[in-house]
This record gives sequence, structure tokens and C-alpha cells, in this order.
Amino acid sequence: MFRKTATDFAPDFLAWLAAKGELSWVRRLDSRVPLFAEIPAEIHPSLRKALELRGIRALYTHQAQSYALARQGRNFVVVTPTASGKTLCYNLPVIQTLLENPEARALYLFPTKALSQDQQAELNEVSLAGELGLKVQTYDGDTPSSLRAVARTLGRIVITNPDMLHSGILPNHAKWVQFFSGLKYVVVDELHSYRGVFGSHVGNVIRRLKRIAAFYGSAPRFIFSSATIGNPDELAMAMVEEDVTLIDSSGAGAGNKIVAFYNPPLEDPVRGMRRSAELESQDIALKLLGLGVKTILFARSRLQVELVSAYMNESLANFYNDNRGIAVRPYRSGLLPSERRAIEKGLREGTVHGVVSTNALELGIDIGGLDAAVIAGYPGSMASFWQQAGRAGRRSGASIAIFVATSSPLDQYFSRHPEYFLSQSPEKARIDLDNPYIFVDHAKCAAFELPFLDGERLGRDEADQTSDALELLEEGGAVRHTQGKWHWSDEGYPSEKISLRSAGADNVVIIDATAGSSKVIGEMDRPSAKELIFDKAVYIHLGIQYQVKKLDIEARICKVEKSSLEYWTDAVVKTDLKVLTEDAQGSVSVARGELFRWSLGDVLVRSQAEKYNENVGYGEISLPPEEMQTRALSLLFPPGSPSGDFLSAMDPSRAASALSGAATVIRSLCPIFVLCDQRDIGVSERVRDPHFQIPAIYLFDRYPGGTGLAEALSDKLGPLMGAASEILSSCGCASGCPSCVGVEGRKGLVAKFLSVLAGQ
Amino acid sequence: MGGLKSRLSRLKDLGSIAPSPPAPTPRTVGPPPGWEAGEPHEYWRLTETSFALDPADLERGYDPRLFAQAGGAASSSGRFEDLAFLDFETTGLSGGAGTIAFLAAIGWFEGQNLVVLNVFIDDFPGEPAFLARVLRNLAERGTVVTYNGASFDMPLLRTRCILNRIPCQDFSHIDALKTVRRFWSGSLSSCALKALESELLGYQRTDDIPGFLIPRIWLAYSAGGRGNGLEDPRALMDRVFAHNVRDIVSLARVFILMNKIAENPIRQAARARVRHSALATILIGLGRRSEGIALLEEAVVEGDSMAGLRLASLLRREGDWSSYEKILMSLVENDPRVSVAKAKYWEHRSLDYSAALACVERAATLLAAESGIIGGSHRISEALRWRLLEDLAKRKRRLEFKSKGFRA
Repeated sequence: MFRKTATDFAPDFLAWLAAKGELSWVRRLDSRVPLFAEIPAEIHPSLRKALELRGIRALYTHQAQSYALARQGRNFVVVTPTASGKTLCYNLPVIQTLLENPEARALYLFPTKALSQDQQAELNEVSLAGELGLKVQTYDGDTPSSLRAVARTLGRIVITNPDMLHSGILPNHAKWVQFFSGLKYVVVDELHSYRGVFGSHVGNVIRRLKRIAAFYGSAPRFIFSSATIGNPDELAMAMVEEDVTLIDSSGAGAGNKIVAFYNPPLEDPVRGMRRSAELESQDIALKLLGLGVKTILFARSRLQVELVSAYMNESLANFYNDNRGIAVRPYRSGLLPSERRAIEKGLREGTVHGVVSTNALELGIDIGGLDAAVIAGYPGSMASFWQQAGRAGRRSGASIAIFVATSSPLDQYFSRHPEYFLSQSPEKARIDLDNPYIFVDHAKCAAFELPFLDGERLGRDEADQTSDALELLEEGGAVRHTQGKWHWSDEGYPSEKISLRSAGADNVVIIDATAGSSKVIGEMDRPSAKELIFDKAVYIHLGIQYQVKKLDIEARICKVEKSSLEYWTDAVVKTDLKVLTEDAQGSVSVARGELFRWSLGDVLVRSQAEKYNENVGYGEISLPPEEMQTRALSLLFPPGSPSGDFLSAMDPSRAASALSGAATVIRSLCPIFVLCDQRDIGVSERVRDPHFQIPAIYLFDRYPGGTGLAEALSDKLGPLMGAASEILSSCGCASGCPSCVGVEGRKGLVAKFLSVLAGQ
Repeated sequence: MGGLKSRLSRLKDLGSIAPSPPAPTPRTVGPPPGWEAGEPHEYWRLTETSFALDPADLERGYDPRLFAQAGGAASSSGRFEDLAFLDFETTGLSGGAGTIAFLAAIGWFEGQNLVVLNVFIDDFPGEPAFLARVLRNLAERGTVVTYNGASFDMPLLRTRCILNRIPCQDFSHIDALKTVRRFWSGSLSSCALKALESELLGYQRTDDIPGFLIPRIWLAYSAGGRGNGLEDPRALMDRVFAHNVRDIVSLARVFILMNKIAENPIRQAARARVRHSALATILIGLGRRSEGIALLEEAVVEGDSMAGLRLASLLRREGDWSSYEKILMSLVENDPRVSVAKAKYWEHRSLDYSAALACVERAATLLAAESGIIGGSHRISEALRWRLLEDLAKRKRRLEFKSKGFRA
């Protein structure tokens, strides 16, 4: 019974969905006919045979194109949908090269550890490495030390993640002589996940990798693969600082697919509250399972995964008694590989019918055989959405993906804009390899790996800051300049203290000190800690409520105890901004003239949590202010422009409401245009800005030094204002709701201001 | 975005980067007192320690098999004059390409004495000359002896050569720590060289510099002055030199001691605190079966039941079933492992399941009652304890099944 395709069940199911809530839109994506090319004549006979054994007698056109580019020694990035055979795009040229040249080696980088394990399994299959006598070796934190020496000396393809490359491989490069000397290809999969802080770090790790490879006389070529984003080639070029060719037309075929956008019913039309996306998703997934459709549900957190799958199995107990025997399993990061393998096997063999997952699954792990995907809330990017939707119906046959919206402005915007899902993705991923904080960190690591020569640069370093960074490090004693070289002169191991994934080693550790215990339950970056886990704050961790006993910022420790208070806490944060530089200016105009101006530059942000609202009253917070220098995009509303005139016509408190409401909406919509989380962006507004002397809204990067978000947004201001204006004009609520300006926002006023900014 | 230098310096103003230390005092050039100047920044000196070596011992050489290491390099010659004892002092303990060796001690036997060559650099640019002198002196002897060099000194030497693009031959290498562990693991407080000195060699270091301070002493010294809160790097460096020489002298003494014990095991073992069963295993490995068995028998008499088990299993492997049985049955069941061995015998050899069950019960009682030291001071680790418990449960189920089966 579990072998239906969407064409069989879709009509009934969609009718059911439309009756349940709002079916905002439904699109049918037609199937595509595959385009083939011949396997190149030069392919090694044993490789050809291995392909044939797997039924591959021709290549898809994009695979053939990849092969040709790789063999010409060009860097390239492949952007094709899920299940289009992208691994062969890099495996084919890599394996051919390794077969031709016994000295040649390749490095495969995957963003996470679990993924590299899966990749090795697939490589051993697809790459036929076993039959072809090529040793494929995973090298990460889980690799037993007995296997490490083998991986270093004999591994022809080494699979790892950026963190291990950064802290394990590069600092010990002399143990990898054969590997680096023969390094021909570096494959970077899941390129789109390298954005913001993480991507900026990884770009610098690649600079170090190229520097070490050059020391051993090799200059590897880079092959990237990415999900659909707005600027894959731009991102790849920023990452590797070389030319990269884009391959974005897939020759693979695809089955019919239905994409449906579902908006849960309004429970409180006045306040704009909709029924929870998670609850609705559960119902929908249960319905599909009841119809005999294998279904995957994507929830937004690990905790949700556990709750939802437990709830679903409970509900299914009735079916069980009816002998339907439907089993649903949680599938998330943190499971043991064996547990995951068991679930995958269950799906293949038909003993598991439903899976509830976090985005652990979105990253190219093939569990196959699913016919419906239910996505609870926007997963943060279009790329993630399509990867999740692609989980259903990977190979052929019809399938369905249902997006279940939350009340957030972003989700509500999408409910009216199917084109964002169905046309070219507008989101751009940004990185800034020259972020000074990140750059100095990696200059340190690079000096440890190999002394810098006078005049040498780390990477292309167009900003020419290598020697400045080294001088700065010398002042701190970490390097010493002598006879034309900068030597590492510290007893430490720098990469150990530099995390690629967080804002530095500066995290506050959260300790559960209930009843004299002392158990670490989590950590939080220092700036957030000051706003969220101040003394007496209520802190929720994995659904359990704690109260903060003591936040010790100096010691980076926060002690909490379990509690059952009847309230939550919310800090009131005061933000001061000081403009340090004005590096670029511009304006947004329509035919009849300039609407508003902008300025891009460095700012000093000083934020202080001053008091907290415990929804029964106020309490004081006494913590030192947090200071950070970063990049900001300032929106300026000068007199004489429509925006300036709009604001100057009203009293300052009304103008303040208009600015803050607009800032809130704009911030929430940034993720449509730039790959980021809305938490990555901070906003602050001034009725009369002390620096510019006119009203202003600042959008600033919340990572010190900036990661390119402010720059990226400056290109997108027109469409961003259009979207912000529209979200207000089309929102059905009476006077502000969580889907627009918030419950306390002044909807009418903000709507007018935003329509001015959008030139309407 | 203009002036990245100013952006970087703003970071400094904001306190994200440590403030600069006071300017270093100007460096004084020239060798430390008593050292010869080699290439620029590179110095060396020779010291000699009387070892009162017996010429006959030197003549006889050592048994290379005693130091053969699983997966190790080519076996060594067995001649003392081919040995070069080596120890490095480095700028860091975590390893990696940013750690360099700034001081080496290389020791070799000359007449009845041990000669130690120290090579030292007072700054980074001296490194290639340092490496060249070290390599030359190692190559002159051929076999390098280290203490934990398999994971530290030898990879470090290789890494430094690669980074300086200096060819580095594959030396025959003996990591004495590995053999020391086979001799003394569990019978000394630790296998650190210092523990060996005080517990075996009767030597107590005074004024020894703690190892963790050594990197920062040299980093301050090479930077030409005070730093890292150290009062006087030059005086401290003298203590590092002494530490380095002492390591080599003790390593050579331990090496000699292990040879003496192996040559005359019965006489030396007790005095040198080597456990008989461990030494017996070593000797049997060297093909000296009768000496090994004699040691084991002696240990059994002294109540070492694990030595008894080892002896029994050796005899069983050799097919001497009657001696095996005799030895096994003579063992006191003061260790659960003895009871288990007897249970195996009853189950598989004599097919007496109730006797086997009784042994299993006794083993379980012993295991439940005891933790820590049992059975002649052979410690049972927590992991082993669990494994034994699991094994006993399985064994018990099987025996109960078998005995029932036969009754039915």
C-alpha cells in the first residue's frame, strides 16, 4: 500500500488541505526529459567497466561538461537539483586523474562530520574505489589514531571537514608530505552552507591550504557543488580567489512534482495568530501516512523532532490496532551512525513509513523512496527549502512537497509570492575573507604552519593587511620578525583556540547547578549572554525552565537552577552607535526623484541590557556594556526627500514609531535577499542621528568586523523596501500582528512610511 | 573601505588583541659561557660523564630483539658504539609545524664514559645549521635511542627537516620507553624518566626545571630579554641545559640496566623491581624459554597466581597437558581469572560441569567482593571487571544448560 505517487492521491489530499486551512497556492512542476552525453573515450577501462556495472552507460550533459572543465584544469561550480548525479561531476574527473597518476591525491571537504561518513560510503560505491584499488579515507575527529597514519600516507582521496583541516591537518602538514605534494583536486561540496562567519573562516582556511600546497609544489584545482542560490559562482570565486566557471543546467531528468503552500487557519484574526505550524504539520503528515504515502516531516529543532515523532506515533496507535502498522522515526543529528543506518534500511525495506527530521537530512544524505515532504516553517533559505522538498521523489514518479507557514512576516510574504520559490533564487551568499578579526586569527594559524616571508600575503589579500596583522601579532609576542621572516614564537597551538563556527572562543558556559550539581548544559556567545542569561533571567533549555543564579562574565560562566516560575524575562537593550567611517554612499530613487539615501561603513556598536521585563514588572540588570566594531548600512532620510518630509511633518515620538516599526519589518525580510538568519542583522534607529544630523535606520552585521551582509543589502534596497511595504499593505490584521509590525506596532503609520520608502 | 591598518589598530584599541609587552632589551650576541660558536646563532659543547662501563659488557653488545618494536624501523646492530642517545627541548609541547627544537643532547659511549654533545640555537635563523649538526652526529652512529621518541622526537626531527627542506635519512630507532613499559609498567609509580631515576637509579634531581616552563624560557631568551614574567632567562637557560644533559645520562643508564637484567635475569630481577611474570614474557619472546619458565615457577612459589596462569597457558600451547593440569590445579583461587581458567578446564577438558559451575560461582564471589588489588597485586581495571562479569554470566548460562541437558 505504501507505493502511491502524488498523481494518485493529490486531488483528494489537496481538497482536504484546502478545507483545513488556507491553501495559498499550488504549483505543478513538469517532469524533465534527461539529456545525455557519451562517456569520454579516454576514461580508464576499469572505471568505465565499474560505471557500466552500475548501469551508467552515458553521462548527463552537466556531468560531461564538468569532466571536460576539470580536465582542462579549470575550477568550476556545479549547481544542479537534488538527485541529478552531482557526485559523479567530481568523482569522474578525480578518479580518472588518480588512475592515471599514482602520485595524485584529492581532498573532499564536507561541512559536517556525519556527511563525510555518508560520503565515504557512497564513494566506495560510486567511485568503486575498492575495485579500482584507490584508497578512500575519512579523516575527522572520529578517525581512530591507528587509521590516521594510513590515511595520511596512503589515502588517495581524503574526506574531511573544514574544522579538521583547520585544526588537525594544516598545523601538522609535514606529516602529510605525500598528500600535499600530490594534491590535484579539492572538492568542496555544499558550498551554499559556507556563508557569513563560517564561510569567511573557511575561505581563510582555503588560503592556508593553498599556501601549504604551494610549499610542497602543488596547485590544486577546486571543484564546488552547491544548492541553488543567487550567486554560486560569485561565492565560489570569493572563497578560492580564482576564476570559477559555473555549470547550472542539469541534464538529469525529474519526475512530476507538486509544491503546495499551506497557511494554517487564523485562530485570532485580530492579533494575527495562526495555528502552530508544527501542530498543523503533524496533522498533515498523519493524513498522508493514513493515505498510504511515505512521508518526511521537517521540524525546526531537535527537540521538535522528538516531540513531533512521539506525538505522531501516539496518534498512530489506532492505526496500529487496525493492523496498519505505520512506524514513524525521528532522524536528526546526534543519532549514532548505526541508528541512522537502521532507519534508512527501514525506509528502503518498508518497515518505516514516516520520518521526522531536522535539517540534518537536508544535506545530501540519500534516504530515498519518500513521496511527500512536509516542511514546518521556512527553513532559513530557499536552498534549504528545495533540498528538503527534494527529499520526496528523488528519482522519478510524482511527489508532493507541502510548506506549512508560521505567522512570521517572512512566511506570510511567501504565501503570496510563489515566484520566489519557482524562479531563480534571489538570495545571495556573502563572505568576507578580509574581516579583520577573522583575518588576524588565520594569519596566526598560517604563521604557525609556515613562517611568513617579508612581503608575503595570506591569500590574495587585496586589502594588503598581512603585514599589518603580523606586526600586530608581534606586538603581542605571538610571532617574531627576524632576518626577513616572521616566526611563530608562542608555545601554544593557535587553531585549537579558534572555532570556525562561532564568534570566537569567547562563549559563556551554562552550568546547571541545581541541588549542588554542576553539569554543563550549553553555551552562548558573550553578547547574547548579556541579553538573555543575566542574573534572575528565566532560561529555557530543551523545554526545561531554569533561572539564572549568577552570570559571571569575567569567568565566562553562568550558573542556573531548575525553576518553575510563572513568568518569562525579556531584556530591554539600549543600543548606541558611532559612525567610524563612510566608505560608500548611494541613494534609492524612482522616476520622480530620490526616495532616501544610504551610507556604508564601519560603526562602533555599544549595547547594554539595562533592565528586564518580567511581564509582572521590571528588574535592573547591571552588566558592563558590550562593544563591537562592525559594518553597517545606514538608511538616511534627508529633508527634501519624500521620506525626510514624511517624518519631519510629524512630532518626534510618532516619527520614532514609524522608524522603529519600519526597521523591524525590514530586518525580518532581509533573509529573502541575502543568505542569513534575521538574528545575524541588528537594527537601530534615530529620529535625529547625531552623526548625520537627520533621521536614520542602521542595519548592522552582528558579527564583529562584518561578513559582507551590509554590503550585500546595499544592492537590494529597492526590492527590500517593496517587499516590506507589501507585507503591511496585504496583511489582514487590524492593527499590527506578529506577521507584520508586531502586536504593539503602529501598523497604519508604518505602512504609510514604508510605502513612501518603496516609492508608491 | 580605506585604511585596513587603522581598522586593525582600532581592534587593538577596543582590547580585542593583547596590549604590547614592554620593548625587549637588546639581545646580547655570542655563545653561552663554555659553548663553541658554530654557524650564526648556533652553538655546541661536549660534556663527558663517567659510566664505569665494563669493557666485557661493551664487547658483548646488547640484544637488539629486546628493543625490537612492532612496526619499527630496521633492527639495530647490537653494538654499543652504534648508539646515539637523543633528546630534544622544544618551543611547545603540543607538536605541529609551529613547534621547533632549540636544544639537542646526543650521547654516545666512548671508552668507559658517555660523551654528550649539546647543540643549541639562540634564535630561529640558526635552525638549519642546528639540524645539520644533529643529523651529522646521528648518522655517525646509525641507531638513535630516545625516550618516547616514536611519538615526539623523531616526528619532530622529520618535520623540522621538511620545513627547512633538509633531507632526513630514516634512522634505525629504538624508543626505550616501549621496552621500559614492558619491564616496569605497574611496578613503578610511573614510567617517567624521573621516576626511574629515583626508584631504580638512586638519583634525585635537585633544582630541575619543570618541563612545561622550558618553551617560554627559550622564547623569552631568543627574544633577547625578559618576557612572559620570567626573571632571568639566561640563568634559567642554564638549568634547561642541565635538564637536557641529565635526560640523556639517565636514558643511557636505563638502557644499560635493561641489558643487564636481560643478561642475568634471575639475579637482577628482584633488585631492579621487575615483575617476574613480565620479565618471563620478555625472555620467552627472546627465545629463552627455560629461563622464562624458571622465573615463572619462582613467581608461582611466591604466590603470584597470574604468573601461574601464564605458565599454565604456555604449557597448554605446547601441548604438555599433564603439566598444564598440575600447575593449574596447584593455583590458589585468589583471583577470579584463576577460577575462570579452572572453569574452562573442567568444562572443556574434563566435561565436569558441576565443578566448572562451582569455579564460576567462586569467580563471581571474588569479583563482587574485591575491587582494586587482588591476586598478587595484579590490578583489575573497571573495564576488565565488567568484561569478566559479562563472561561469567554467559558461562554460567551455558554450563547450566549443558548440565541440565545431560541430566535429561
